Amino acid sequence: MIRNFWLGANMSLKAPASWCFEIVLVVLILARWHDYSTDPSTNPWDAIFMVIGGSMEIALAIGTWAIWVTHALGRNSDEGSSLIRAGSIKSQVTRLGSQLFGAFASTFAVTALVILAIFTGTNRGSSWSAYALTPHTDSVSAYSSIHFAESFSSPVVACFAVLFTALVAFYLASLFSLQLWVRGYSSAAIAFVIAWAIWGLMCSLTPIPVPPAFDTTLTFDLGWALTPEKGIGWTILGLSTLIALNLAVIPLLKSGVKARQILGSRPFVMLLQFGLLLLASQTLFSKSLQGQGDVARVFFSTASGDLTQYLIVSLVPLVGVSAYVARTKRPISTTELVRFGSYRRWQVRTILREVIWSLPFLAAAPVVFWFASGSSLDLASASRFALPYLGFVAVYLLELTVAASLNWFDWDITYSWPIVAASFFALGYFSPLGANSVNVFAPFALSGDGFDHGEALGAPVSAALVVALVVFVVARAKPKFAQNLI
Amino acid sequence: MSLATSLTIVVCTADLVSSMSHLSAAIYPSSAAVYYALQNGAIRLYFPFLIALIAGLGLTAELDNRFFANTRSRVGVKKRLKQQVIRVVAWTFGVFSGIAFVKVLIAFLVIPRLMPHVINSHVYAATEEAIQALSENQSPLTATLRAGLPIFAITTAVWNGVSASAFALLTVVSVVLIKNRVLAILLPAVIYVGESIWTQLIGLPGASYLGAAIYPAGLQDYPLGQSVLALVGVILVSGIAFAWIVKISTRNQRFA
Repeated sequence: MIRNFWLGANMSLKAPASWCFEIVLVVLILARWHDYSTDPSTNPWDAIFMVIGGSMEIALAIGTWAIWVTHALGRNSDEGSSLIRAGSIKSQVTRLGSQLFGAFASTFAVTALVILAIFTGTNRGSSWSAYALTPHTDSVSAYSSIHFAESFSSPVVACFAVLFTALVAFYLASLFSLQLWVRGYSSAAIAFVIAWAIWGLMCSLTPIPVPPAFDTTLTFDLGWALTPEKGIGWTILGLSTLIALNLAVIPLLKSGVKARQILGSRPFVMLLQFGLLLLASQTLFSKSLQGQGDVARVFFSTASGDLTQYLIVSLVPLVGVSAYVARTKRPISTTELVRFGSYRRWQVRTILREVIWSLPFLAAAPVVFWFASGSSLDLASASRFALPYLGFVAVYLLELTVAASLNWFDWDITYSWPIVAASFFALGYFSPLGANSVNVFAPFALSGDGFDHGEALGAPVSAALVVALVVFVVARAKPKFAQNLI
Repeated sequence: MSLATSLTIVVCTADLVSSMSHLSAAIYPSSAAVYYALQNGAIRLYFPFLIALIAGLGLTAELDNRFFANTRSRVGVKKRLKQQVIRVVAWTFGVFSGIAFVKVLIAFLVIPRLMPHVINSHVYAATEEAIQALSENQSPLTATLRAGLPIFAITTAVWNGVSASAFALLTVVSVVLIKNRVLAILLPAVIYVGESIWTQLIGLPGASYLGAAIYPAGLQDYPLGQSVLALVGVILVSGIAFAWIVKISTRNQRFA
């Protein structure tokens, strides 16, 4: 391990890419210092922080360097001879991770030396400058030393913290890429590290405000994260996500599980549904609800309400049932039908199996609604979600029954299910009988005319359940084309 | 005519009739506003599903019953793929630009004669110019009305047809790349809805397919550039993916 650390440090120290990185850094700092030095109240720290704290500079300089170092280490690492020399995939990862650590550590050390050299060379004092300590009323750059002087007592500590955060974030991203590489996903690996650097660059360049959850510059740029409206919590969250990615890759890829299997698995679909619900409550928070009063009406929105909210919420059951349809092998095997005894029993068991598998999700969904109902987690506000939640369960059951009954018709599921899904999707929003009528396609959606859930939703919820029952009964117990099945 | 196309025509007709029956509930400033009302219905939601059915079903069946693989000695795989794409792209373009064209005819020629009480510009603004400015603020394509109704009809029909063709191309790519037939047919709709949710969340409402693919309208000061970018985006991505599919098609196991 220690030997690999020095190997990595040695490789990085000798590489032209590292020296290009340092030269770019020095040129950028000196260019900044050229502007600042005319003001006698400044010192080099003011120029240094504008460069090493700037998210564009970090993404461009460290990003390019990280792509190079990942490629240099990952290249050939998944080849047989290289893996045999390492012994196992695990030890190959340890080996490359140590080399990567050595490379990053040596870059950290050289960069720190370069910065120390610059500020000693100019001889304008080593502490915060008068410029940085003067309170400024006008808005200043997030990367300015003025901001850092508020949070750190010494510029040396601040400089190390900024460099450390940037390098740790890029180290974790490169490590994840190498983990993928060693396990044979070389294209995905190099694509990930390039995408990480480019997305960071885009986030720092874009004039459009990126939501903080997707703003990776908050992860690697301490200066940006320390601005009052962002907060250091996002940095911690971002770094934790990277660590979690690195840890998750081991169990997920160890047994050679394909991405397709993961994406098709029930836990993943459940996570997807849960994520959609969380997204729905997130959009709920982003629309300032003060004055609107009824959270449940906004959460379960319909034709009179917010379209985005309707799209997200109605997708949740559709995703679950589509996953069931996609999983089903068609035509249904004779042995499976024989095992259950009758077509009716097969149908009951199929629906029950899907319902039981979605119980964890259905049980966890009210918690999301409860949290969405506001900061005051009282039962009264939670009970406002009870009927919409029942409607949500009812439409899930209805869609499941329809999907299971589609098996009894001589129609190709390739087109019959998309047609059913599109009907549920479109008719749930544009109610076929008018906006205030009973809509079995979206019984969770509160009707446009008022706040009285008891009156407004009881009918659609029960109607949806009745329709589900009717579909179940009418879809023949013995299929028309039974001869084709058996 | 395939099952999917017949279904499209039936559904679009039903949608049109239902929208027309709701027209008399309001008063519109101009025929352009009536056209917007006709285009702003359920079609915005079922559009990607229908496109996927029209563009994807034939190819899915050919891949599934090994017609594609068994006839490779007769027709080269590259040639067949290109023919397939040209066919579905042209067909979806024809169907959906036709639908838009019919709606223009109804909104501008039929409704003013059949239901004259529906359009009353004086309620909204005094001058023709003000009404036109009102329309352009909400639906930017109406700017072409200044060049005459035929130009407007052609513009909206082409817009509608091009977005339909773009999603048809995406469907072909998805059908070739994804083995599960149901998921392959559903993927364009997932992208359509997902992109719409995403762009609404990050504050680029003009770029959402839901608002832009059928007929870009519905926002104040509609940013048409965003819609063009979103449309060009899906064309570029699926075009590049299709070119790559054609390039490796001779050694792709899916066609073997």
